[in-house]
Amino acid sequence: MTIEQQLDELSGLEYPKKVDVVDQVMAEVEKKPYLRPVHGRVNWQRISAIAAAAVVVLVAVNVVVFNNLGHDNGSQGIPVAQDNDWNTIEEEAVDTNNTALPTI
Amino acid sequence: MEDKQIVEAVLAGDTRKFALIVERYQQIVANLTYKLCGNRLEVEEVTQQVFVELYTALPRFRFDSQLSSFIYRITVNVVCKMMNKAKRFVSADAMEGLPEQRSEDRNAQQQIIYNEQMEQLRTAIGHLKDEQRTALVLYTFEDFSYQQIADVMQCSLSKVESLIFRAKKNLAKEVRQ
Repeated sequence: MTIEQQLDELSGLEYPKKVDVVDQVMAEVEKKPYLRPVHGRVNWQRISAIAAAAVVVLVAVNVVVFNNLGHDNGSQGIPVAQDNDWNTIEEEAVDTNNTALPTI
Repeated sequence: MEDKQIVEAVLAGDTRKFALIVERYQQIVANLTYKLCGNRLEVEEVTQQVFVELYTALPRFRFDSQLSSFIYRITVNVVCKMMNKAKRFVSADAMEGLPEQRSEDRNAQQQIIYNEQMEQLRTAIGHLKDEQRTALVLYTFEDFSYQQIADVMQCSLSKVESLIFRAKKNLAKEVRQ
């Protein structure tokens, strides 16, 4: 007999006893509640979409915040001297010169 | 009730329905386990472990293949794991007690020779490497196609062909000795 023929002969091999493990399996399954299948399945597409949306929102917020910071820096810069201040000083000088000096 | 409906019910929280899957496939799993490891003392234990692992793995099952293929895959993995742990090999002793396959066409002497050949073959199957034995058993004893075996063992078609070819070659070599 060839190996193939011998294997064919053996192919009718079956476990010679009727198996019943339902009770044992269900007892195992019931005592491990943390291994219970979750209700429904994990929707990875939904999770990816939410994560992508969160990234977009974060980027938008950062853009807005940094733009606002740039405008604020311009208006809070070093105070510029006003023309009025200089005029005041000149007027004071002129006033001093107008004071009549005593003649000898 | 179809497999898909039962799985969906179990995943929705009706754990009791899982018993239907166990009832449906337990003998199939036991037969496959017996062919793979041949140790009758472990078959019920392995069968039980297969279904406990199936329950845990059920949320990962996507119905892109049949539930039976998924169960076969788990069975093969559990058997290999337990055999590596126990470091037991299929032996002629482990397979003794099988009913002899008698035929009216054979006379007594032919029957003796026939039985010896079968016993030699069983021993040789036990000496194969795990992967070769799995592929050979699924192909020869479960009538799986190469594609189905590739799905169960999660390998390529060419690897399945190679495993079966080498398994038969090794069997022929050992049986002839």
